[in-house]
Amino acid sequence: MKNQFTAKRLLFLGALTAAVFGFVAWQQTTNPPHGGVDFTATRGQFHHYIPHVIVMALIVITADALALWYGWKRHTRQKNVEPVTDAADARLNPLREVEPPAPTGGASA
Amino acid sequence: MTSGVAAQPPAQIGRPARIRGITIPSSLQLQRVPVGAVLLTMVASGIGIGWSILDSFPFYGVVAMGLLPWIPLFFFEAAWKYENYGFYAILGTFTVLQLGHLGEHTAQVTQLLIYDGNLAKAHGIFGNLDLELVHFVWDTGVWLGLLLCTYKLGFRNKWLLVSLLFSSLHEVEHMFLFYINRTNLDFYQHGGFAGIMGEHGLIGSPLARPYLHYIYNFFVVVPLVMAFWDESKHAYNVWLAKALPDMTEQERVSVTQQLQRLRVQEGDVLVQQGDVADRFYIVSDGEVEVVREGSQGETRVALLGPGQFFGEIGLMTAKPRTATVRATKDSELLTLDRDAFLMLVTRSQGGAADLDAAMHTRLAELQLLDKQSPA
Repeated sequence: MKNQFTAKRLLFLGALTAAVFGFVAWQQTTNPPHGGVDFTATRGQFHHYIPHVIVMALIVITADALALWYGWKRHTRQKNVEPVTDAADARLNPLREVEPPAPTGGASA
Repeated sequence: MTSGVAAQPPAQIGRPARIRGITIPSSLQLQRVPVGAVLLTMVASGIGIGWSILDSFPFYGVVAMGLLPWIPLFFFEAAWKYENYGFYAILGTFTVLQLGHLGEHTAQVTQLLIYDGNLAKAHGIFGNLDLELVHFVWDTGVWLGLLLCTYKLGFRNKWLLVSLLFSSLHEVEHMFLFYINRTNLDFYQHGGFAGIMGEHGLIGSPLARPYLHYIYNFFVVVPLVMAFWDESKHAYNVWLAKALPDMTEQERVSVTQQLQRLRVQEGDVLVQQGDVADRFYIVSDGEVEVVREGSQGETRVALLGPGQFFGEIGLMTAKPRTATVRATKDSELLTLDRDAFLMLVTRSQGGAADLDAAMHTRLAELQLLDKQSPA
């Protein structure tokens, strides 16, 4: 598969993220969520749960690591497949519509 | 058993569509559900919405009535795609469900905008499901689904890794919220619901809970959609891959784009002995029999099931069909026309080798059969 993190995509994702964060920040500032709930919990009550959260995080990290490890092994096993190239695709599928290559820039002054 | 010749022309399923300069991969198009069924579903959905509005249903009821008719249609198409594209169809279903989930969070954020931040009026469309248990079960399912996707595709499609990262953070948050909701409800109701990263939460951030979870979901769903889009451009038909296993992945993708789908009924004749060869077939569902017609009647040469193919001898030797092929059950076949087949043979070394080997074996079997039962 070709590079998936192209500049065009990162730019699109960046713009979308900026729009979402901008909207959220605007809302959070102008209309902070409220709902008649008494926020009386102390920091101590939150801190009581730090060990629990560490265990939860370790469970998630371990599962992620296992999926990544076995995923990597699976990926390396299948690496002998032909890399995807435009040339290979065009060779076999003449009906495929290919975007014209970007024009090269002229000599700079 | 009837013996009619298959009259239905094959349906084009492989060709990518081009809409406003964007190429839509064929795997993203409706390939099994007929257009008529889509129109019927649209009508049913419209009637459901109209009726529920006239009957003063709550808003979630109106949305549910509009969505319900689409569910069987969606899963019918998804089931066909699973049979033909394998895991890709699961990724697609997962992506669609997650888009719906993000839609629900978007609805909640919109309600906050409309009701000036009043949380009591902002529970999304299906607000009755705004429960810690539901959040925990759904998000754990998303996280487990992404672990599976990472195992299957993660290192060839790295957007899935981005999605997994944010899904994992989200999962720890929901584990914590569900745990305190079940073990210390008083703490949960008086501030614990902020969670780990929510405003005033264990670590805390400027984001109140609804906005924080909207952002979590945004960073899970957008990369997932990108990953799915990339996979769509590289999806290939699993029956083609099973029939011609020595083709490279890229060759499978390219040939998949030229496949056509043909449905036949029991007794339909697909290929008539002596006719001009114009098409290659792969069985994807059902069963067909290959019979040789001689002076002493018909002799069954073979029974072919899903993943097996026929029609290659006539096309490769440019001679009339050597046998008749008839469906013994209602069946579905994938076909390539002559030009696409010859392109495959000339351009795919592995595919040509598979076809060549099968052709020689079959010709030898036919010769043996002819010797055993001379005309």
